[in-house]
This record gives sequence, structure tokens and C-alpha cells, in this order.
Amino acid sequence: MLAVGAVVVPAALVGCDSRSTAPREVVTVFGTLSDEDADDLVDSLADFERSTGIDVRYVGSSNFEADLFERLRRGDPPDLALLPQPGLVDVLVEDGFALPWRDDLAEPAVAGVDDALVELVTFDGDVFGAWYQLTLKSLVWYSPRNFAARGLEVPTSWAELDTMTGALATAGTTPWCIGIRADGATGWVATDWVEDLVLRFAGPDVYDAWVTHDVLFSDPEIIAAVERFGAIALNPSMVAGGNRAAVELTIVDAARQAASANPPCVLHRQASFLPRMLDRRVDVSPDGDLWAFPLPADGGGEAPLLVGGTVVVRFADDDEIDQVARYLTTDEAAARRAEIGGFVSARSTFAAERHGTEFDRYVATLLREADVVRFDASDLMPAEVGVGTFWAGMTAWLGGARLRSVLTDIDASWPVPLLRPAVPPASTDAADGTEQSEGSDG
Amino acid sequence: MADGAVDDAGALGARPPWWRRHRMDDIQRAAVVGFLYERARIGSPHTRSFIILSLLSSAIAAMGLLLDSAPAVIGAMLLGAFITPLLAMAGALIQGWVQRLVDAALMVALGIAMSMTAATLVGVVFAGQIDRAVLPPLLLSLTRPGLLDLGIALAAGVAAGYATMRTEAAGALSGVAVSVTVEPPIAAMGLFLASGRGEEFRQAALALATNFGALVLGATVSMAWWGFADRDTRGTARQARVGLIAWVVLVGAVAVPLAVYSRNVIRNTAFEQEVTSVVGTWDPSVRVVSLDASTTGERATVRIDVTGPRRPEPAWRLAELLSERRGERVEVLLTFTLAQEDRAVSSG
Repeated sequence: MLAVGAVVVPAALVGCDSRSTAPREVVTVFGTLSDEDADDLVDSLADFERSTGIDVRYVGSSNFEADLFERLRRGDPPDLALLPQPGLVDVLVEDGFALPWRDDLAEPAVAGVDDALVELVTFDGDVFGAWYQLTLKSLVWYSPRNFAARGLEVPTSWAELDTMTGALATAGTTPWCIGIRADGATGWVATDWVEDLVLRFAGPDVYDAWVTHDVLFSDPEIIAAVERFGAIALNPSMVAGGNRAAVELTIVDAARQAASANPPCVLHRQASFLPRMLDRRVDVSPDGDLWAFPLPADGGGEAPLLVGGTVVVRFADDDEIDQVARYLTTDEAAARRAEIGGFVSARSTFAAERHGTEFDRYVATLLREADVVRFDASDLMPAEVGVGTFWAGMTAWLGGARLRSVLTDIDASWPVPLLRPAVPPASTDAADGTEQSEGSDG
Repeated sequence: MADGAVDDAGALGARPPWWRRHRMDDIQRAAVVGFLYERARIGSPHTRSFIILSLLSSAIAAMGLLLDSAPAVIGAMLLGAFITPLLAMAGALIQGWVQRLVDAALMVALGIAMSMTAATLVGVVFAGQIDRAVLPPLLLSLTRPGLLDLGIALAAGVAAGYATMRTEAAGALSGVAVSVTVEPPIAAMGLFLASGRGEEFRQAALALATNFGALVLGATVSMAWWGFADRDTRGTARQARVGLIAWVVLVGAVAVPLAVYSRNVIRNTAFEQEVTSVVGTWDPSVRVVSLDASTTGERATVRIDVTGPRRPEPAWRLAELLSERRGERVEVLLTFTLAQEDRAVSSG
């Protein structure tokens, strides 16, 4: 049985006067955004559509990757795509589907964007994508009110976090809520955990080498990171619902549990888009119902940050499409989207203070000030591994499979020859901005 | 005018005989009053048969709904016993008879309780039948009350009142008309209660409340028109007025959400037909197993379950086709089940 979702938001809903009679040029944008996220994207384009007379039709699919390649193979490409996995860009370039951004488009598209991120979408000197937004993954959500009532303080190092959660568990309070199930995307929460732990305990150099498979999954440093996650996720006193809860609970349910009025846990590691998963309004503020701190670094200090993001890729070339592509890379487009909330621009030219909510500003500031920022490894690895065997392997391991054989199988699934872009630099000077929820992530 | 016909003379002369309004005389009125109020109270000699008929009719209706058998449901209606207490309520409203209104209302409540008990028991025994994802159409229709249902109940009430006032039209048929609008919703409520379907239970309860209110209102109008009102025996005029106004307000209050609901049902039904048509264009190889489509005019949601011999066209294409046709935001949740036949034979 296959279950997929799709949403089409025509621009007529927001952008144009339905009484106008002139035919409008339609530019189609294909992506993974759905529900409120899709509406917010289209809403943010309303002014642009009014001023240009271009209809931007957003089409979202929960089966995005397969649908995109099917469209491309059939010769029915969308005009633009919002890719949540930059690892796909190189495949699209290799296959000749993605179009390079001409200089007049590329120059503004890369302005203010971290070099490491630009590198991920640059091939043979040509830019093939523009960063639209970023999502901060390395966050631990908590209730400031709950923390105050329990006399807890935000940990600033892994040791402090370890001590705090151990004390909570000893006192009979379950520290963590974890759920990794998701229709068609089960496992990405687990791989995010592992990626964060590799980045913290093995360091960015090993992380970069792991992304390109120069360090294997069966490498002791990767095994140690996975086992460190297992010490939490497979420990019944550490996870609400016991040691099998992670594979039984959905990602959304875990988030809602953690943010409920009477949460069964104290902490929940989830990306900056968590508020969009909730089914009730919560006060997201440093003294409110919900807030987040970066998953601490091993020895304290500045935490390395794991990010996700969305890249605009062009598949067709005409004036209207170029206008839309160019607009999406502007601070003006970021401003329209940011004022709605739940969005952090990828561009440092868009000041952190201009973001729409206190939380968005906080995330933008964290990203700007971070010494080490790395893109989500599973989104950079070949799709067979990143959103395939890695997701499935971590799910199987949490369900009871042997770790060594799982990691060996993942290594064996790595495609040969590699279709990888250049390795990102060992460290980056902060990406600017963050946020927005994708339906599936890794 | 031996039968009480009123010869209203207009400017153009006397109205033709078929148009004359017939009012019941005192003897007829006394007979109707005796008939209704002797039966429509708990403890009367007719209580036992009322309970038995309520139990049986509802049990038959519930089983008929599960089987999607219209004949069985109609059979249940023939046994329905609600007409007497409902007409008694209508007469008491006209006359401002508070005690009789309460007695009749209690009788109705007893009947509903008995009927729901029987239907719930049927639901418990045949729980497997109502666990299915797709409800039988007859049962499903009772979860979608609309203004047309209200209209049917109103007309049934008028007919029942008329039949009671005009003895030559009286008989079981008017009882069936009443049962049409009361028995199936009660039976459905019992089934939904047994299967824990809260939303469907509420919709069936809304259908019952609507039909019940409209029935009594219709009967009140027709009984008043044909001369049930009698100054000599009625309570205070204020009691009668308050009772009638309260009833009209009650029916009106139910009619408003029902009108909104009806509009939505009609709009969604038209949308579902459009989706079915577009599915043929989207992917002719699939067969629609179930479809739930709704629209507000600006946003549409389609939950569609299809089956076919191969993977269908992508969901986004269906969403795009619908969006292009309707100019609104369309969200599609597609579930696909592969239907492949695998035959084998072994000769031994």
C-alpha cells in the first residue's frame, strides 16, 4: 500500500485580482512543503505576483524525490524546485536536468550565503542552486516553566547534560521523548541524532570524511557516536515509553508529547521547525511554554551546529522563471516570508533582527555566531544511503537489530562510483539564518 | 354544515367545496383527545405495546441498516409507535396543556430509550458489521442530515396531523410517515453508540432532533388548521403561545446549523463527483475504492483510496488537475493498493 500527499496552491488565491482579464504567465515551483508551510510560501509571494503579473503555482509532494525524477524523465519538469536535499543537486547536474545560474542570476544568489553552502551547489565553477532558507537541527526543546519549577538550568556541556538527565532518571523523571516513525521517512530523527553526535565527539573533519565515505559507518568513531545515542534511546529509564518507544512513536506524536501541558519527559531533540508540528498554540519564548538550547558540545563552549535547508534549482529558462528565481534570492523575498514566521534566511545580508519571531531571531543569531556549521549528512550522502539504508538501518537497530551488521550493511550499500561534489570545508563561518519545516528530513 | 366545514365567502362568492376548510366538531375533537391522551402517557394500558413495538421496530431497523436493506427498514417503520405521543405533544402545544405535554414527552423519551437500547444491542452483537471502514449507504445517509430531511419531517408531521383530524385519511400510513423520520436515526444512534463512533452518533442525533422538532411543528400546524384548538378546554392563552413559540424557536435553532450543513453536503457532493470525473483523466487504470472530498471554495481536501494493476500517476498531478479546474488550493492524500491476480493450478 502506498500513501502519498500532494498540495497545489494556485497563486490566484493570494496574488492576483480575480477580476483581471489578462492571461498570466504561470511559473511552477515543486517542493516538499505542505500544509501551513506551503500556504506561507505562497502568501509571501503575493506582492511579487501582484507587481509582476506572474502566477507562481506551488506544487508540493510528500513523495518529492521520486516524483521529481519521474517528471524529469517524462520531460515534464517543473520550472523551479525547492530541494531539501542538496545532495540531489549533483545528481541533477550529472544527469543534465538542472540548469546553471547565469552570472546575472548567480551573483545575487550567492551574495551573503556561507561559502560552504555555496560550495555544495557549485559544480565546475557554475552555480546550480540558490539557498532559500535554513533549518537548525541541533536543538534540544524544553519547557522553561518546567525547568524553573524543577530548579534545572540549561546545560552548557555534554557532561552537564549527561549529569542532568542521569539525575532526572534516578529521581524517576524520564528525561527524553523520542519518536522516529514517519510515513515514508522513518528514521531521519535517529540519523540526525547520530550526525549531531559524530559532529560533537568525532569532530568536523571526521564528519566531512564520513559524508564522503572516506570514513566508514563501521569506523570506531561512528560506532561510538551511534552507541552514545543508544545509551539514551535504548535505555528504558531515559525515554518516555521505554526502550522501544522510539520506533513505535511517530515524530509528530513525540513532539506533541514533549510540548504538551503535562509532558512525560523533560527534553526533546528536534529541529527548529518543531512548533509547526504542534496541534496547539504554545508560547515559544525563553520564559514560556517552550524554548530550545543547542545540543551542547563535548567539552562545553560553542556547540557545532547541524543544519538543513532548501535550495532553489532551475529546470527551465525564460524571463518569468528567472524573475521568480531571482526574487527568491532577495532580501525582500526573505522579508516577506520572515514576517509570517517559521523562516530563517540563508543570507547574512538579511539581518537576524529582521526575522519575524523571537525564536526565529534566536536561531538566526545562533547560526551567525556558530564556529562550526555542517549540513545534514544524510542529505549530502547519496540518496541510496542518506535517505535509504542509513534511515532504515538506524530504525532496524533501534528495533533490535545488531549494530555492527547494520553499519556494515550501510557501508555495503554505498554506491560506486561516487557521485559527490567537492567536500565542504572543515569549518565554516556561520551560516546566517535558519528554519522552516519540511515534511521529511534527514 | 354537518361535518363542520367553514363556508368562507370571499369577494367572488363562496369557495368551491373542495377548497373549504373542514373544522372538527366537538364530538370529533373529544374522540381525538380521548384517543391521544389516553395512550400517550406512561402507565396507560398501551404502554406495554408501545415499548414492545419500539424495541422490535428499532431492532429491525438496526439490522436493516446493517444489511443496507431498504425493505427491512420500511418493515420496521410499519411497526413504529411514535405517532401517538408526537401528535399528543402537538395537540398539547396548541392547547397549552402543560401536563399532557410532559406526559407525552416522557412517553417519547421512553420510546427513544427503548429503541436505542434495542439498536445498541444489535450493534453489540453485530459489532463486526459496523467496524468496516465504509458504512452501508443507508446508514451513512443518516450521518448527513440536511434541510431536505427537515422538509420531509415537516411534511410528515402535517400529514400525520391531517390524518388524525380527518378520520377518513387516518390509518397506518401516517404512522409510517412519522416512522420514516424517527426510527432510522434512533436505530443508527444505537449502532454508532455500540461501535464507539462518536461523530456519527452526533450526526444521527442531530438528524433525530431535527426530525422530531419538525414533525411536531408540522403536526401542530395541521391540527391547528383543521380545528383542534378549542377555547373551552385549552389552558391559558399564554401557555399555548409560549409553548408554540418555544417549539418554533427550537426548530429554527436546529434548522440554522442544518442549513449550513446542507450547503456543505451539497457542495462536497458536487466536488466528489468532479473528483471522480477528474480521476478518469488523471489515471484511467485505477478504480476508486473510497473518496472523501471537501471544499470551502478556497481550499479543498481530497482523501482518495484507489486500486489498480500498477502504480498510479502521482498524487501531485491529481492535485494540480483539480486546482487548475477549480482555481483553489487542493490537497490530495492518495492511498494506493496494488491489485494483481496471481493464479496457479496443480494437477496433483
